[in-house]
Amino acid sequence: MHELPEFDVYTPSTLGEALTYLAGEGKGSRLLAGGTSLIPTMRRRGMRVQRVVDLSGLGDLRYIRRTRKTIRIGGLTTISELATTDVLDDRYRCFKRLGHQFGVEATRNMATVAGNLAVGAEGDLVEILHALDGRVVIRSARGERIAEPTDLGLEEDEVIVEVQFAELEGLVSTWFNKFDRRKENGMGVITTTTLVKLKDDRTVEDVRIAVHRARGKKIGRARGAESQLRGKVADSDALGRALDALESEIEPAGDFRGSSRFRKEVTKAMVKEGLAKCLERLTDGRETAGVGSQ
Amino acid sequence: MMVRFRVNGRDFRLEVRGNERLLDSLRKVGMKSVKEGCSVGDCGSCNIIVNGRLVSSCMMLTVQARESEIATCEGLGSEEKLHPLQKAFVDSSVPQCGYCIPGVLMTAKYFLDNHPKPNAEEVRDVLAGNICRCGAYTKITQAIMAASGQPGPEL
Repeated sequence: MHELPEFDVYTPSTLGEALTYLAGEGKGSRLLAGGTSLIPTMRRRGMRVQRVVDLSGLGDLRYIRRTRKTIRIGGLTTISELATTDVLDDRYRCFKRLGHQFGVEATRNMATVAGNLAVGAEGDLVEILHALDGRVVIRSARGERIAEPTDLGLEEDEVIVEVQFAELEGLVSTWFNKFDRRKENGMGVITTTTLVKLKDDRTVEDVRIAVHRARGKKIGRARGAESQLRGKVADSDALGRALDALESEIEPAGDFRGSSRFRKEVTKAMVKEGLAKCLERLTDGRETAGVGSQ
Repeated sequence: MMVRFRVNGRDFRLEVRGNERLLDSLRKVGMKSVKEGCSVGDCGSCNIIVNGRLVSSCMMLTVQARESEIATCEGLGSEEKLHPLQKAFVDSSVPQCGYCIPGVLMTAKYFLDNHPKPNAEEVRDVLAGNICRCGAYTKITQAIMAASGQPGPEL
């Protein structure tokens, strides 16, 4: 038996109870949502924790809703629920892709939206929400605040309660890509998220490209590449210019999983594929002036 | 802390410490099919079904499973009346050392409950979460396909 370090567990049944506890006697507690990050971290790194707040009793934070053109996802929604929900249609293939590219079945059934965001830099959802211009609703006994997914600045007494983003409308498609050394259950060496919105059959109205390591280890948008496509006809020339811009604007940090140069090359190939996947879907599989998925 | 849950239709009341994992509690109440492998959610040996969802019991605290309905391999079938998955595993002589098999069976049960007629590729995909050191994956895939009433891949 491999025991976890000793700690006490508090099991609130409402968000209010959790916030009051975190502000008072439970100061310095660690939050437990799905457990797929916290428990292995305690095991692997011997993290010492005095108190854990188990959020699994807060069923009110498990939902996916569409309200007044905004999609709202409760913090304790699991990755499985997000990947398989009927509320999000085919425009949101970026989330459907998580059903294959996030951990394995058991992990997806346990891991939560809030947990993945709180883990930070390497979280798939941080990147996807960044591409969707999403916002994160954070609450504490002191009140509520809204944060960017890439800059949560979480305090110890705060709980991620919801993520929000504007509903995708019109001719729009998204794609999420993950490169790893194994098919499933890896950390994700490189990930990219793309969104393309067409005005008509060929002209790009909006495009968003988020990459895992835009600068150093930080998730960021390839805004130079985006500007090479926005308002332009989506042909192979425009795509080529966008990929050139991407190459010159990203500076990924290298590590034992992949050098900076390797990461840059693979990021470029994955963005190219992501854009092609979006365009294929928007044009019903007709190739858009030479922009295929090859 | 007092925790109640139901395992394979039987009610249990347990006094547990905060840091106790569901894996350990289940073994304490006699569910020895739940095996410890990697302890960090990579190998699938401790896979069980909690409220209809496949989970890794090594990454779940027992308190998280309070008032839950839990299914382990012990509840699948009996020696007299094997579950179709167990029968297919026996018929195909799947187990070698057998350590990973309870976790594989729970993954397979959860999968077939939700995808009654999968193809072999889908079976291989879901098995990504179960590591078998004997490398019996081909036979495991065949047996799961057989349990779904379909021919498996050729050996």
